[in-house]
Formats: sequence, structure tokens, C-alpha cells
Amino acid sequence: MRLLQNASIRRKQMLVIMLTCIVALLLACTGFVVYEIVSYRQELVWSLTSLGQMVGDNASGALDFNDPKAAEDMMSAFRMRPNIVAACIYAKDGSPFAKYLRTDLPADFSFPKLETDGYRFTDGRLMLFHTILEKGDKIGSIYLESDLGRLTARLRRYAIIVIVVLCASVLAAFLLSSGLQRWLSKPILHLAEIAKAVAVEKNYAVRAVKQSGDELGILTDGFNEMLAQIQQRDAALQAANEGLEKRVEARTQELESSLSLLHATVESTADGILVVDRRGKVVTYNKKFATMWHIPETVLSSDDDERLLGAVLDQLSDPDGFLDKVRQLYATPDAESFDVITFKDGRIFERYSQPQYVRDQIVGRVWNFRDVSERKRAESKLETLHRQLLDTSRQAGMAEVATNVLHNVGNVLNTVNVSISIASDKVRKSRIANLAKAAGLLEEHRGDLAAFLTHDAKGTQLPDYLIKLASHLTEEQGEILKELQLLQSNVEHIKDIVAMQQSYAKVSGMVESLPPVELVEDALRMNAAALGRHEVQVVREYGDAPLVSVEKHKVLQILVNLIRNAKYALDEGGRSDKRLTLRIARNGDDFVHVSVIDNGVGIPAENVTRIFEHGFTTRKGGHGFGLHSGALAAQEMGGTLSVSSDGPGHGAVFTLALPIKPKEGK
Amino acid sequence: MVAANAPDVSEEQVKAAFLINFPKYVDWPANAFAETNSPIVVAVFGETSLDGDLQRMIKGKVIMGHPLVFKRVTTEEECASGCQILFIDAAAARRVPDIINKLDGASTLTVGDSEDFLDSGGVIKLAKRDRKIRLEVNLTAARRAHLKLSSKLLGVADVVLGKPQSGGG
Repeated sequence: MRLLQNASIRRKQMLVIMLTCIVALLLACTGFVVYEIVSYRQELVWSLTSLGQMVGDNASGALDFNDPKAAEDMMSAFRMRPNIVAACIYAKDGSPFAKYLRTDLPADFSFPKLETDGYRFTDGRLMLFHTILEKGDKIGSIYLESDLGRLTARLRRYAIIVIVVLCASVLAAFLLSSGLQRWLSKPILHLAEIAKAVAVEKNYAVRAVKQSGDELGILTDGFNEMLAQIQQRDAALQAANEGLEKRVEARTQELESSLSLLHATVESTADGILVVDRRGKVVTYNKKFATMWHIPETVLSSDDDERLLGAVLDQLSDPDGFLDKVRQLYATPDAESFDVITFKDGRIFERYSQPQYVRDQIVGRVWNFRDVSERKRAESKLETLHRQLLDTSRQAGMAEVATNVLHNVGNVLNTVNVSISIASDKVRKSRIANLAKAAGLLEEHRGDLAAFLTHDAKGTQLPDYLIKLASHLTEEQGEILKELQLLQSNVEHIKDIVAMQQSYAKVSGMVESLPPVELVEDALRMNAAALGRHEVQVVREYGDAPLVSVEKHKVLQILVNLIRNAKYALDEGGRSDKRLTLRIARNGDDFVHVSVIDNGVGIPAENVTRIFEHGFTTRKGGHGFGLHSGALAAQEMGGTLSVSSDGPGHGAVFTLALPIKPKEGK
Repeated sequence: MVAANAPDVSEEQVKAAFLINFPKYVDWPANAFAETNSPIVVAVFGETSLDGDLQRMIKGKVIMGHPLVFKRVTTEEECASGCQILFIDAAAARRVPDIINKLDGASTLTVGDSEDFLDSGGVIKLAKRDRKIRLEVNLTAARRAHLKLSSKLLGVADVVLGKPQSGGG
């Protein structure tokens, strides 16, 4: 059946028809032949039985009267029946009585022993026993043996007939089916041809011709419809393909140009670039990389990572640290890194690396090496310069504070002078002389004091006068004492200012726990004269604040500077209600914020970010160190200095954050 | 051809068997039997050599419903009194004509083995030829006794006297 699987439908159809025909014929013939055989046998049995009966009947006399010859004569009539091979009449006792043999059989033919009535077919022979009766008396038996020669001959004839009929039928079936199959297979073959044309030529424009209204017609319609759809889709696909090709081409060009751009960029950069995959294999690098690392082209292109690593490590002053870092980064592919590596020859590289992503997937790492030897040298030079500048700045700051101190001391001394003149004025104008006068009156009337006090016009007024005088003097004394107290406090103030200057003069300060209010008040006091002169209203907004751990002189330096700046800002702002607000507020667990707020000229946005830069100033004659060194000083204490302003004309807020806990590590 | 008779079968036995077989091939007239099951009497005249064999073989023999019985007759009168078969051996050959006369057309099948039995008016003679017992038949005598002999019987008889074609009539 498998062989036929690929045979043409025409052949299959014919085969089916012929096979059916042959099988049907064979079945019919077999039926007939079997029927013939069975009926021939039955007929043979019947004819042999009647023959035996007849012969036996006739032979009864011979048997009864012991005349075998007569019996044999009778049996010789079998010569007319060539199918009788042998015959035998048995006496009642079973002994053979008379025998017959066909002439072609040998004389020593062995007859079977007497059996009961019946027949059997054995070895192509029919054997039959029949009892001979005479008047109901059993007198013997007859045995007949017939060959099936006629059956064989008949079968042979049948076989010939079957073969002839079969051949004729097959021929007829062949002719008929080859005629009919054309009628059935023509549409199918037509369809197959069209399908083949479609498959080979890819021509979806052809159509099958519908030839009948049966299933094949439906198939043809379906096929045509399918072809139409395919044609349609093919056209759409082709159009899409063309569009796609154009797009791909455009993209490729874009890609090529961007690739060349990238390549040019990578090559033109001053950095050495190395790209490796996730296992550390070199993917790409630029010439600068090879040059910087003095790695020969042969090593880089050899794909031998060990050799490359060896060549790299040999040049480093800390190869182990380098290796550790590399390993650590391969273990954490998504990490970025930045570090500095130093070479035995004194060069310094900045090494920056970051993972390479392709669609969120890390595929490798990009290493970027920049030779910063020159820059580092410049930087260290700059560092020295900066330090010197800082020292200068500090000294300048100190000078400024000193100026301030002297100025303040001068102001305070003014107040002291005023207080002293007031006090001396008061003392000078004191009614203490009146007391002396009263005392003189009393001295005059020592003898008649009682009369004087009771009768004399002056004397009677004297007690009242004395009482008035006493209260007056007490008042006077209070005023003088007050003035003296002010004087003392001013002297204390001077002492403080001097002490402050002394403490500021110390190079490294001592960290103390101080109340922020005191610090602010000190700073205010140091600027008090200037603020008073410029009619600045000072507003104090002191919240609850813990002690701060700071260096007193640094805080004072910063705050004095801030207040003075505010004063300048207020002056420049030109407003009549110049207001300086000092606010103290705790900020979190760690800081206290001291804000110096003015409603003065304000700071332009572009300057807010630059205001702490070294050398920046907007003030004529300003050296620009103030805020810069202030910010540095705040940092040194573990705090910060920041500024905000809503812009020109809206004032500014400087906030000094002071640490509550001492800065660690210092 | 092989001899049908085995050597141990005696002549007397063959003759006794023949006597017993005859009723199958002989038709007696209807009046010969009183009943349909009346016995067929097989009689021997006097004492014969086959008495013993006959008596032994006849026992239980039934032909067409008629049991076969053995009878011995000694006188001519007795012979005429209802015997279907009468065997007269060679020893009584001289008395055959008298017996036939006495029978006077009675339906009795007379069988004998004397040389001139048929000439004496007997119906069947058992003749010995080539050491075999052969039959000889006198149809005229049979007709006189109103007996019909089967063609099968005649077929195996060596001699048939009184055939319609050949004479008598």
C-alpha cells in the first residue's frame, strides 16, 4: 500500500475499480466452484449408492447360492463406468465373495475390510459400503470405490472458465474505468495541475475551472477562493516587504553612519576605552587604550586574556588592588565604578567603568581610562595655592574682625564716655548740697532744736524737705547706679570683645557646648553700633534650642560677617523699614539653625549658586573671602552655611546650621 | 478367482444353507399360508446327511414374517401335508416319483440331489460340479406346483428345464 501512496489518483482509481472487480469475480467463482464440488460429491455419493444397491440387489442370488462367478459377471458391467476403480461383494461373514478391478489397476489391489454402511472421501477416492438385503434378510455387503476424475476434469474446466472470465472482466473493467475515471479524475487532475502551477510558478493569478456541481466543484470553488486570498495577501506582503526593505536600508544607513560616528568618537576621545563582555573577554577597544597601556596590538588581538592582564598588571604600583577591584566588578555586573590607579612610572589614570546594557540586559562592561597625571600635578599645585589663599583669607578675616573689634570697642567707649559724663553731670548737679544746707540749719539751731523745728517757719518745713530730699537723692543714686551698671556692662563688653579677638586669634579653636542665643547676641552686640547707626530694626525670633557644639570664634566670625552683609544689603536696598531678623530654631536631632534674614537688596538667582565661591563679591572693596571662608568654617565644624533669596529686592536668608553633637573624628 | 467356499465348509452345510435361502427366491401362492406369519416348513424326507446342519441353521430364521421350521417326514402322505420345502436326498431317489404324485400339484418346492431328480418331477436339483454345489431347475415342475421362481435364482442355475422359449408349455 505504501508503494501506491504516491501513485497518481488516476492509477489509484483504476486500481480500486479493477481490484473490486477481481475480488467480486473471484468470490463469485469460488462460490460457484465450491457449490459445484459439494453438489458433484453429493451426486457421486447418490449415484454410487444407487449403483451399489442395484448391483447388490442383483447379486443376492449369486451370493445366496454361492455363485461368485455370476456376481463377478454382474460387476463387470462397471466397465461402462470408468470412474469405478474397484468393487467387492462381501459374504455375510465379511469374507470377500466377488471382486472387480478396473483394468488399469494392479491385481494385488488391497480391498478394505468390511465396514458398516456409509461412504468416505479418502485420497481423492470415494469409498462406499452398502448392505445387500434379500427379502429383508441381510446376506452380505457391496463395496464400491470411485475416483474423482470427473470432478478434477470439471474443476480444470472451471478454472479455465474463471481465468477467461476474469481476464475478460479485468479487460472490460480496465476499459470501462479508464473511460469513467477520466470523468471523475479530470477535475481533480485539473486542480492538481493548477496547484502545481501555483506552487512552481508562484502565479496566484490562475484559477481552476469548475467542471461539476459535486464536492469537487465545491473544492474547486474553495481552491479558487483560497488562491484569491493568497494573491491578495501576497500582494500585501510584497508591498510590506518592499517597505520593510526600504526601511531596513534606511536603518542600515543610519546605523552605519552612527556606527562610524561612534567609532570616530571613540577613536577621537582622549580616553582609553575598553569594552569587555560579561566573562571579561575583550570586545572592542580604541587605539588610545592600547597606547596608554603600552599594550602591543598582538596581545590585544590575541584573545588571550591572561596575557593582556599580565601586561596590564606589570605596569601598576598596586596590581593586587587593581585585580581585586576588577574581580569585584565582574561579580557585580550592574555596578559602576570610579577609582584612580597609579603606575610604577608615576602616571595616574582615572578608571571609570559602567555596565553595558542591551535592552535592559547587561552584556558587558565599558572601561574608561583617562590619563590624569598632568591634572593631578596641577591639582596638587592648586591645592597648595588654595591653602595659602585660605591662610591669607583667614588672616584677612582676622584683620576685619579686629577692625570690627576696634570699631566696636570705640563705639562702646563712646557709650562709656556718655555714661561717665551723665554720671559726673548727675553727681555734679546733685542736691547733696541742699542736704549740706539743711545740715547747716540744724547745726545753727543745735540749742533749740525742738523750738526751731516746731515754731520756726523754716524749721517746721525742714522735716518735709528732708524727706523729699532723701527720696530725691535715692532716685539720683539709683540713676547713677544704673549709669554705673551700664558702664560696667560696657566695660565687660569691651572685655568680651577683646577676649573674643584673643580667642579668634587662636589658630585652632576649642569645641565648646554653647547656647546659640548667646552666640547670636554676641554677634549682634559686635555690630550693635553699626546697626544702630543705620537705623536697622532688629527682630529676635528665638525658639527653644539646645546647646551647640561649635568653636565660638568661628561661629562669631560667620555671624558677624552675615550681620554685616545684611546691613550692607539693607543699606543698598534703600528701604525705610530696614529690618534684620535673627531666628534660632532647632532642626531635627542634630542641628540648630541660625538664620540671618534681611529685607534688603536680595540676590539674583544666578548669583545664589556662586555666592560661596572663592573670590566672589558684589561689593566694591569686598575681597570675596567672607562667605567662602564662612562656608568652609561651617563645614569644619560639621555644619553648613546656605543661602536663599527670592531675587533682587526681596531680601535674603542666610542659614547657618550648627551641630548639636560634636563633629566626629576631630 | 478365489474359491468362494472355504475348505472347512462341508457340502452338507452348503446344501442346508441353500435350503434355508430358497424361500427368498420362491413365491408360493397366497393359499399356501393360513396366516401371514404362518411358518415356512422345511421338511426332509427320512433321515438325511444334512439334518444336523439344517436344524442348527434354521433356528430363529424368519423370511418375510414367516418363521422357518424344520420337519421330518417319513411317508408320502406326510409329504403332502403342508410342507413348503421338501428335501429328498439321493438315498430316497426311488421314491421321488411317488412323492411327486402324492403331492399332486401342491405348492411344495421339491429339492433333491439325486441324479435324475428333475426328470422325476422335482423342481430344484442340487448338483455337484467341480466340487461345488450348483443349481438345476425344472420350471415345468414349478409351474405344476404353482410356484414362481425368482429370476435371480434362475440366473445362478446351471440348467433350467421347461423354459417358455425353449420348450414345454
